[in-house]
Amino acid sequence: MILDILLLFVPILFGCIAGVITGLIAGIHTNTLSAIIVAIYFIPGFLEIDPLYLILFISSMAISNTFFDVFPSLFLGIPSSEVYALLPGHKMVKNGRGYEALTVSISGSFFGFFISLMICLGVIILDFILDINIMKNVYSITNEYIFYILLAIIFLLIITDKNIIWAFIMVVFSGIFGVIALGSPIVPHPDSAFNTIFPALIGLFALPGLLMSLFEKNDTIPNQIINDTNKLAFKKNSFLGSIGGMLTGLLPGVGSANAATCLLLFQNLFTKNKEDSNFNQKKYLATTSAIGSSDALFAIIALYFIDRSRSGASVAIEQINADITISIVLAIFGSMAISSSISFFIVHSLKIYIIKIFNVIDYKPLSLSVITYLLLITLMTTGLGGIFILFIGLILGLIPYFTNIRKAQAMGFFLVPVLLFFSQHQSDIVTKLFLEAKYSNVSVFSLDNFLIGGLLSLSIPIIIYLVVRKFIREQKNSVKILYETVEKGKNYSGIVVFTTILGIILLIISHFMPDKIKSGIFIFDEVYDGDTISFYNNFGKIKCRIEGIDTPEKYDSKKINDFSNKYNIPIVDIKSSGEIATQYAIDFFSKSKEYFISISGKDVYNRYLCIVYSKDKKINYNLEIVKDGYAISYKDGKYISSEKIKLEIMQAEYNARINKLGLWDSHYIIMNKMKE
Amino acid sequence: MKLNVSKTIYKYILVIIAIFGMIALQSMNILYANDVKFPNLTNDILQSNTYRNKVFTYTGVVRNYYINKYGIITIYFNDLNMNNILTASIFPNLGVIDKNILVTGSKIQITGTVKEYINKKNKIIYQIMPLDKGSIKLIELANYCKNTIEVKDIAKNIGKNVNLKFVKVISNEEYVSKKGTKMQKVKLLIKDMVFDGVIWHDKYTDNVKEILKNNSNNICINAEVSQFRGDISLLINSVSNP
Repeated sequence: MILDILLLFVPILFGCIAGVITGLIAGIHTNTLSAIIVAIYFIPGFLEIDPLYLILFISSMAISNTFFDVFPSLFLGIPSSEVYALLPGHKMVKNGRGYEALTVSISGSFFGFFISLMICLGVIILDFILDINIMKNVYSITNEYIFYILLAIIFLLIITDKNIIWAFIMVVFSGIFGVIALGSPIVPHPDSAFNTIFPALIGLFALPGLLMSLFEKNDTIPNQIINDTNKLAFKKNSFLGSIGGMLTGLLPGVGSANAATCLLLFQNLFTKNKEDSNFNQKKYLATTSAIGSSDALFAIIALYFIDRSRSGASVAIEQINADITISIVLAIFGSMAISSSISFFIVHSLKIYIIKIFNVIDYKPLSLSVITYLLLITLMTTGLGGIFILFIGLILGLIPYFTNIRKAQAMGFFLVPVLLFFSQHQSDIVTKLFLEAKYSNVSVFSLDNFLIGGLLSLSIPIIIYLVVRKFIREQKNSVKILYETVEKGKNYSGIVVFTTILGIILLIISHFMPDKIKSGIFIFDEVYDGDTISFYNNFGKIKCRIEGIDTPEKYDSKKINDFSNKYNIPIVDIKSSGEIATQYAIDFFSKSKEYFISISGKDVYNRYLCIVYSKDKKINYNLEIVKDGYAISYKDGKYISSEKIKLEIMQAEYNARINKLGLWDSHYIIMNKMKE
Repeated sequence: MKLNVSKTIYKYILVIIAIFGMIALQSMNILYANDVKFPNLTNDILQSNTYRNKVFTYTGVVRNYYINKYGIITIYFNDLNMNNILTASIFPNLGVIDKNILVTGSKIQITGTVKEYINKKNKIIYQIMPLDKGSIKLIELANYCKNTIEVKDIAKNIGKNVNLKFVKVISNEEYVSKKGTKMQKVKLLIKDMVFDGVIWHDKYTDNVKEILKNNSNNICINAEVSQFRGDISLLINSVSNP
């Protein structure tokens, strides 16, 4: 038992390591690894592993990644995910505030995750006690107004800019670019591990800044200042960020980038101290970091709350195990809590060394080598098509530098295509404007390509850096260490320890949670056919295969086709008998809401094998349907777990048959052939 | 290096390059042809679990279709060789598609990426997502959808059997005449006109029942045009029989 629990930590630790790798290497996203894991998992016999381990691995990787993917953004100016596209952190690094930016970012990520976890636990408890799924309610309400919400975001984005005309042009242009690029066949399919998003993002948000810095005469990175901002600052922003992450998880079509744009916009509108740019930059940073971690959590948990996947990681989890029960949810919480604490601890412990290393790097050679890296990785992953998209993105991304508008206007790339979809007239609009999407099966990605490309993409920029550095040498002094308390706040070590312990407790609870569905009282949900019925209780929904019986088929399938061919019975007759048996079940279960279900295991289709009783256990459905002549005993009771029920069912079938009850009267041939 | 050119000129140059760049990109998109042959999708491939996110070609007969409010079209196929339900999902960003491919009973071919998802009833649904509009091809229009007449010509064909397409059933109720004859009284929406119709009991087969139960938007009918109390009444012989 203890070993089983300890084993759960293995995927969490490996997931954490994977998160570090995907976070640090720009261009490699958690979605990429998740897609690879799913592909490997479904190769027959290749990866015989408990799906729970993979779920824990992916969850752990997703949250750990959010602590590390800020690095390329801060120190290299590369937004490795769209949420960081507007991050002012790179500007802070260029002002010598890299240490501070890192501290604010990881505390924002951590606190954002912590608040989101508390919200999730609160919602689950409410769901248990009051039977109210708040998330589902919010989702269904907001779903109706999503078009207007997005329209309002775009409108606000434009009218709050200094130059409304250029802001409008930028949103429209980047929006059209989004529509064209996201439906372009010259790059791999949008569902591929590497697709059009990366080159577009790099072009719009990363390269313009790096390129401009090459032309600036005095654009060097000053010595980084190290101060004691080891406090939980910007709690409000982290809270705001976690709400943003939650909305991202719930609102269809609203990505983390859109949520970040919207929140930053509001934050900017209501900021009193607009003059203190350093303070505002940190607020931005805390908010976006919190959105990142909160989004990682909600995107996965949306699978449980609203039955929707919201990220590459959640799609992978859904594919690995579609049946997300409460025990799995708690295990995911536990895994993410532990992983976030570990990630926080790693970054927090090493940040001073990271800054010291960064202090000896020369900025212009670094910018040049980063540009080389971005071009190479784009070429390796998305081919020449990706380079072309990167180029157009770059041209558009340069416009804000020459018009003094916010770079956020380039978010039209994501907002406009989504707005178009929710307009409900997308097909007409794209046809009239000749903007119809085309996808290709082009896949630049292969393992060889990936390894060789990765090696080249990393080594060539390093060589370029070393060569260029010989010609452009920047003046550096030793590291300054300042002790200044920037923000008031409590020390965060307590909350990290608490989160770790909470994570471990949740993991243990999940292990002991009845898988975790076990026999007990359930509420009737739906009749699929006479022998397949679903129920639910607070632990989740179960699909029951009624044990030991068989009813005629009603759905098109190979089974019904084979049966029809074998006995020369028209399919329509078989379906008709299946419908009658289904109606019997519907009538039976319409009488009451609650039932006692005895579960003996699962069948090959992952359905629970159930004996269904009335709540007082006086009536047994498995027996009743056979008794009334609408089902037969399956393989003469060979698989019935209870010997007593087996005998009762056999007797009931015999009586129904000789008395021509139910289907034994109207569809005798079918029932008789089913027995063969 | 130093930026000497004024910002004003630069921003216009950038806009012009961006416009040309996007035109070039979209031209490439339009000219791109998916003319590669892809393997056929079979039940064995689906069962082997090696299909995910790969491109296949599937040919099947349309059983029914559904369009959600955002314009995503889901086509259901009538394929008894498949163990699970197979659907095609056509997203609105592909543009307006030929309506004939939605006619129940039509044979169509789709080339696209294959995925799977679990529906609300917890059933595994295989999903083929076309690469583009051109990868959805009509192989054979359902028979009773051939030689159809226009809605304006219905009145000219009283006493004749006609074929009508793009019919929507808006109401359907059982009716027993004074003589005890059972029939289904239906109201049909054809283009923008509503007609009364009758399906005699012997023609009200399970197949017809299923089509009407599914509230299909786009069925084809063969009917005799008659008059009842001065109004046109369509005596339905057959309703899309794939």
